[in-house]
Amino acid sequence: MNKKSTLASFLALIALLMYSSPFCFSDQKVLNPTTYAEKGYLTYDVKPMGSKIRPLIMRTFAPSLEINREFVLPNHSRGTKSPKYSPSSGKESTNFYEPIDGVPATIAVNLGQTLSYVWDTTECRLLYAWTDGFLDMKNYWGNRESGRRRGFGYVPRLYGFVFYKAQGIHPLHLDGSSISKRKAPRFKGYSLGADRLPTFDYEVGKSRISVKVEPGPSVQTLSILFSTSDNEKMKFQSPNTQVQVIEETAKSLHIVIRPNAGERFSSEVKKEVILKPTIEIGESLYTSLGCIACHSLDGGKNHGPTLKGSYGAKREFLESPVTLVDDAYIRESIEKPTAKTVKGYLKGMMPPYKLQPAEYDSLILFIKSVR
Amino acid sequence: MKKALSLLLFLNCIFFATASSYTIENIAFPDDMPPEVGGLAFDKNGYLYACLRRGDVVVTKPGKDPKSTKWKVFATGLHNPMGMILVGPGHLLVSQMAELTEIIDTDKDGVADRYNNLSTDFGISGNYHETNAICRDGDGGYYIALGTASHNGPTFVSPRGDYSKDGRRGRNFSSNKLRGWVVHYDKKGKLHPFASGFRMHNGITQSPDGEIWCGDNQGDWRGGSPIYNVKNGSFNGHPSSLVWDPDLKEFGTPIFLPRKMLDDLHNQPSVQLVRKAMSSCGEPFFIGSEEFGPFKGQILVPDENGRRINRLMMEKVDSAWQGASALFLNTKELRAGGVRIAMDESGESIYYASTARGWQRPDEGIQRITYNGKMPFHIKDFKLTTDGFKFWFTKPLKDSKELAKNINVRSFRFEYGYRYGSGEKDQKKHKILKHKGNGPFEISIDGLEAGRIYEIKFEPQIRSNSGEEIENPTIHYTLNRLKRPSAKLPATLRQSKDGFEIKIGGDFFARYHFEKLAQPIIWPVHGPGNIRMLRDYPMKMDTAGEAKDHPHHRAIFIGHQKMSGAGFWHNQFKDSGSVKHIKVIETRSGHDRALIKTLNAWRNKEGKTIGGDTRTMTFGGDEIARYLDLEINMHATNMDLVFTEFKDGFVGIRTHPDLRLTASPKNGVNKVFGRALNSEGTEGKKIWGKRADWVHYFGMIEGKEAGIAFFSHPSNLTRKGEKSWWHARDYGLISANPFAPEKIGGDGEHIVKKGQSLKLRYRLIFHRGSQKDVQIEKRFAEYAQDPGHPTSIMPGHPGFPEDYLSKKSK
Repeated sequence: MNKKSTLASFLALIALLMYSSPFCFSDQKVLNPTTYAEKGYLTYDVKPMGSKIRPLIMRTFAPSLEINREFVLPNHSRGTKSPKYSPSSGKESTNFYEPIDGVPATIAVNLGQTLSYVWDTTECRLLYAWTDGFLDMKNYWGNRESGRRRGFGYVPRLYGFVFYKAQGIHPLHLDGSSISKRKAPRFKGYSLGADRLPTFDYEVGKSRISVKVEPGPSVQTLSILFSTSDNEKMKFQSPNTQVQVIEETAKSLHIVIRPNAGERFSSEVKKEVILKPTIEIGESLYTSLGCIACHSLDGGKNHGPTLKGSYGAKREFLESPVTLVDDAYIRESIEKPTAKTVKGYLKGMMPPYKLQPAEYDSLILFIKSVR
Repeated sequence: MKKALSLLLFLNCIFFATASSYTIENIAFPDDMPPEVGGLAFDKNGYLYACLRRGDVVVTKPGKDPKSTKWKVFATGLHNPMGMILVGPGHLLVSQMAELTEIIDTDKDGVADRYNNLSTDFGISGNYHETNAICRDGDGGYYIALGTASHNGPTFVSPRGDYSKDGRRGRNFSSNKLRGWVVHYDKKGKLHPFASGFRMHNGITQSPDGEIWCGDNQGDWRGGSPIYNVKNGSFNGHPSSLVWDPDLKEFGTPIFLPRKMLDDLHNQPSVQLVRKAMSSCGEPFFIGSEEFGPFKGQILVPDENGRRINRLMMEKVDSAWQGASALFLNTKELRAGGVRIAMDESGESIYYASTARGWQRPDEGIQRITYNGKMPFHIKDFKLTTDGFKFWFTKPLKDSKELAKNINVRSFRFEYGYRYGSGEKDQKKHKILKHKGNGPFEISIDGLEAGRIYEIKFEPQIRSNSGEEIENPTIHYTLNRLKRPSAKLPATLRQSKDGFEIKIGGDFFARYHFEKLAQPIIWPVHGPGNIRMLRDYPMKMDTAGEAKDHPHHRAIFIGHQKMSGAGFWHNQFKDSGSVKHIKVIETRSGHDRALIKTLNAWRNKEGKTIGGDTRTMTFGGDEIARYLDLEINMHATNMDLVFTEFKDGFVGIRTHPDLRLTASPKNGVNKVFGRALNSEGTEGKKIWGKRADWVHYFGMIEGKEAGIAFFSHPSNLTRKGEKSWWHARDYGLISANPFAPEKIGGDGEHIVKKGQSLKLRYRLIFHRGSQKDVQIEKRFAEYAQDPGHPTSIMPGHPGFPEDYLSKKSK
């Protein structure tokens, strides 16, 4: 490796760590002296962050992250393009304003680097959850001096690593059918408990449902507690999403959701581009993306196969012929993990990850190195 | 670092002294807390709550020293909260971007822990501009002001609440449900539409007497910065929100409706603040205390952009609020971006909240403004008289003899349209004809006219007895309505579900029916002395001596033989269109005249809307004659209005059979007593098909001398630029027809282009006594001088309704 490329990859690594690593800063370590987590009120900080002991709750516009509108946002109306208008002539032109991506009436909650999530008050459901960041309000709030919004599309920018995205119709089923089949749910409000975390309430039919979202038992998992005023049996069911029932009583349901997505967002419009794949980047991705939660480096069995000595080994699958673990296979299993499932493991446990090419290659280099 | 921080803190709350009677102090905030105050209110224990636009609600108990103010966070997590009501300590109602929210500290630990959603029954598009504000309704409910979106920002692919493509069009727009409205959240928890037509009414207030007031921002469809007295069902000028008004739906895209139609629907602002004094209105605040200086009962309006507060002096004239404005404070010590005002318990201080993030350089926080007891020299109050103005100063004058010489009066009008703001149009200088009084003072001026804004400048020569100049010496008076002269026989209205009854001095005059028939009509009409003026048939079938011909001649009616292919005259025909009464826009009653203004839809036989009209009918009279004035504005809403030139049109009346010129024994009319004359001197049957300013039918009705005169106003525009053509028959039909044929059978057409309007004015006189006694020529001359109802549509603005009309018209 020449000096230049070492420097480049070092800088890239720093940049990557800055934006992604949960181990880079702890919740308690305060970077900016006037953050919400420390003060308990919103400051001029345009990237406000809460903490586990002082969660930050924000009613806000939120990005919709290309969530399926037909299934996930059926109770929203549909924006359309509209002819551009000249305020001086009072006439319309043949050009159009296009509607932009966004969900208008959400509640975003942040517990520091550990967990952020967006809950929508119109659909009364969790839209997505992420770690390692929250919302960058810069475009909406502007800076302290000018106070101007930035750009036409000022929707707060999500940054961090998204591990859960709502899929399909409303996942809460009452007596066997999704509440999407009923009249639109009505958001009633929320209470803050001693932990300052919100419990949302909504009505659907005669039932009043309460729901509380918390960090799950391991990285990038969610613990969700539902309770109901009625005696209808609750079930959480969503396509491509692994759900573990922790406890179920007549009027409550406690589940843990495993990640069903993997996508990192930078708060900047321009993504940090990694120029050259390295083992070091691969190793840091292994921790920051949460691979560490399921794939051991020491041969220990977990939700997924160990990485130790995996490169070049033979793999047997549930539904496909035996394959050697090579670059192509590793790339496929990160990008489209449901394509093949290793014998002895559960299908669909791993979410797909959208990474840059050099990131896939870094992971491949890293996995190769784990002997 | 710490030192620098505390220095900053210190600078931030430096104490300002002022020369005036009001002291302005800055309430301290932590340096890192953005004090973008959207709402503020005191609880009964003297705690001041402030909601900050990023989402926090903070609370403090203001002490003597504003520098040592300590804030505590009471609630968090709100999105642009701009309205706040204190229900009780630890219990708030907040209007925020997405909802009306109740916030409660249930465990009484000083921090809110319960957030109830009270209503989300309105839309949000995702556009940054959609503001909110809230006030009480006095009955356990609330009014919420819901601002529109701006074309400087986007809408989302997934907005909330019904979306309208038509509402999305224009500069400021209402793409989602009820944006641009004031909505009423009643005590039962239901949300109702209340009033439309707002752009960005950043602030809403209930007055001590229970009325609702909003200011609005400068902008499109706003001449100045308007202040509205908001009434149920009213339209307040900005058209985008009309997409959510089911009454207007049939007329098409609101922003492209004929501007005269919108002007007629417009609940004119009680006060128009001019650009020199106000950029954009914050929330109006009623001064409820005598401890705050000499202005109790008046309204303060902060400026969202400038460092100034306006003061309004309101009065009710001809049953509507209007009034004068002056600057109250205009000083650099004030922060820009004033949005809300609250008064503390002492009544000596107001707390002035400002925020400007998003529209100008942030200059935000709360300032305390305290009256120091030193009487300022101001114009204390300012009112309209029948011929000028009457005013009071807060102190006696040094010398009032020369007062009139040191007052300059001019006036102008604001035009109404899609443009952003209006210049001062149609400017006039006025002479002071005389002055009287010694406090209060009165001046009478020439050319006092409704629909104008009068600027009254008091020159520096005017001094108080202690030698001071007037602090803010310019008054603007928004003259929407003239003071009515006292009436011996007041004209009054009574509305029922299908019409109005009009009385003059308590005696029946006329009834307007707007429900039962294919078009609204006026029937019956009684002249002075209770003389029946019109044929009863076909509304009443058994009145003796009436011919039962032409059943479409229904007393007083409006229609045309062929308009854009549909018939509106022979309404007994199967293929005839109909004129549907849509709504009453406005009524006035109890003075020398009563007034009804309505909106009507002209539909073809399939029920498809062709156009609309707004008609204003004014009723009045004395012992000799009663009059009905009709101003009808025909609006080409849905297509061009093509009036084919046929004889049957436009405003018709059918007289009492006794006023017929000829008898008709086969129809049961054996004896008649009528004669006819027109303005050109033509008599009898020959007036048919002639052009004239007026026609007059007179003679004996049921043994008493009486008559009916019908005037067409000289301003009525016809294609050929001539006087009205008269379809006036010997059998008692009198009809003024501006779309007259040159030859029988029709020969042309008169087109009103889509988006334009056509104004027509008529007066009907119902009199007793002889033709001589009633002096028709003199009455017509007076009518010709009558300027009619004020309009805010004027030449120069593209698409002025008369642009397309013939230049040679009078």
